[in-house]
This record gives sequence, structure tokens and C-alpha cells, in this order.
Amino acid sequence: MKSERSFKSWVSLYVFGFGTSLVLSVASYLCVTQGWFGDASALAALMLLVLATAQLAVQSVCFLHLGTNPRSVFKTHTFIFTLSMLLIIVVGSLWIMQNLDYRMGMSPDEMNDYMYEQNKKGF
Amino acid sequence: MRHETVDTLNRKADKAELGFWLYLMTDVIIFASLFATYLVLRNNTAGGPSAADLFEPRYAFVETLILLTSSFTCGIAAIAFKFGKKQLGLGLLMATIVLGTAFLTLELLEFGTLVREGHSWQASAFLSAFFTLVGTHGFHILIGLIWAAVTGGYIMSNGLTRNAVRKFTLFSLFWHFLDVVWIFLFTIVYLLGELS
Repeated sequence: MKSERSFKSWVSLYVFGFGTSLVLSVASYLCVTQGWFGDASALAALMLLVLATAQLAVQSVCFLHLGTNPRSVFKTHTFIFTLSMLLIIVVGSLWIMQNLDYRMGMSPDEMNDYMYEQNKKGF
Repeated sequence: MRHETVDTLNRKADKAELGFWLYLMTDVIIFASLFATYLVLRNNTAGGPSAADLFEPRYAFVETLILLTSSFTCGIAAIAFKFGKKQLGLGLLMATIVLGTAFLTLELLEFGTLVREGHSWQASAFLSAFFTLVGTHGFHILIGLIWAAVTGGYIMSNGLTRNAVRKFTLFSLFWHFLDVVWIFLFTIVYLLGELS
């Protein structure tokens, strides 16, 4: 694996990736333990996801060497494709299960009435 | 550009790396399914304790720092081997193995505490999903540690051959990948669990 980069420039890339990841990890830890967002837990959750995604981006470039040069472009393309599959699986599951939970979340009597109403409409 | 891309893939090392990368991408799908399962089931505690009651963010944070550092030492080891610095590379590989073992030990201690206190995987759907998700990651770490030791032994006995460097590049890819998965375990299981 010959490369044009020198040993020093590789090491500085890794040191940069390590330092940034460290800062992002500490930030997300403090965000929770210090209660930066107080009671706004939705905002805190969003912040945590942003920090994690930022760290994913940093490590992808610095450690996994994803990029647009010819030697890594296939990796980058398959990675983006897989990430879209991942989002479909995770967001899709949450969406469907939330919907099911909402529709099933009634007492047996309520469910009977509901089904009765639905049956009156016919199929 | 296209021609150039195909041309570089003719190199054996690049082909091996792409093939291994595609395996890692299928692993992403496994973890995606387990994350989805965990997110769906995390509130189904069957009257037992929730994530906020059970997990200690400080403990998981220490695990995070250990794994991140091991990812870093492993990356530097891969570069050292690429540039023929065998002793430096082997030293850093040893550091990676020690840190990885420390991480796995902490995780198993946490599992042991949970099970002893009666919060095993049988207690609720939430705990089943938790043990499956975190356990699968831990199992990958165990495989990685064995792989690291075998590759280290190979380099010590056969020297820094081109093959050895290629094998180690694949291992470092695997190890970095596991650290990326852990970022999301740390965020979603431990930190978001503490919020709710």
C-alpha cells in the first residue's frame, strides 16, 4: 500500500481525528450529565444525535479514509447506499411500531366499538 | 476518472479492501436491525427498571474513551506497518489489544452486575434488546481481539511482508468500524437512556 502521503501527514490526520472525536464525545457526555438543556429533553436528544453524526463524519474521513479519490470512491458509494438502507430500517421500524402502538392503545371495549364502526363501513 | 478507478482496483490489496468493506456494510445492516429493535422495545420494561435506572453514563463514558484510544493506536499501528516501522507498529498493536481487553472486561463486568441484580435478558423485552445489541458489539470486539493477536503473531514470525501489511489494514478497518458503532451505542443506549 504505497501512498503519496508522508508518515507525518498520516499521523497528523489520525491525531486530528482522535482529538476531534474526543472533544465530541466529552461534549455529548457533559450535555447529559451537566444538563445543558435543562428540561428540554427533545432538544438535548437532537443535540446528542448531531454530535454523534459529526463524530461519524470525522471518523469516516480520518480513520476509514472515505473520500472521492479513485482508491476510495467505491467505499464511499457503498457506504452512502448502506446508510440510506440503515435509515429506512430504523426510521421505518419506529414509524410502523409507533403507528401500531397508537392504533392498538385502547381498552378492549373501545376496541370493540372501533371494530364495529369499521365493519359498518364494509370492506 | 472511471478508467482510473477500475485500474486501481486491479491491485490486489485494493480488491481485498473493497471486499472486506462490503462485508462491513452488511454488518451495518445487522446493527441497524438491532438498533431498531432496541428503540422500539426500550420502554417495554415489564414493570422493571428502565435504562435511566440501570445505566451509569460515567461507566459507559470510560468505556468510550478506552475504545476510542484503542481505535487511534490501531490506526497509527497500521500506518507504522505501511511505512515499515515494525517495532513501533507491534508496540501500538499491543496497546490496542490491552485497551480492547480492558473495554471487553468492563462490558462483561457490567453484564455480570446486571444479571446478578436480577436484570438479565429474561426480565423484559427492553433488557432482551439491550443484551442482544450490546452483546453483539461485544462479540465483534472479542473476534477483533483474537484477529489482532493472530495478525501480531504473523508479523512477528513472518516479518513485515506485503501480505502482512494488507492483513493488518483489514483488521484496522474492522476495529475503526467497531468504534463507529460504539459511538451510536453510547449515544442511543446510554446517553439518550439517561435523558428519558
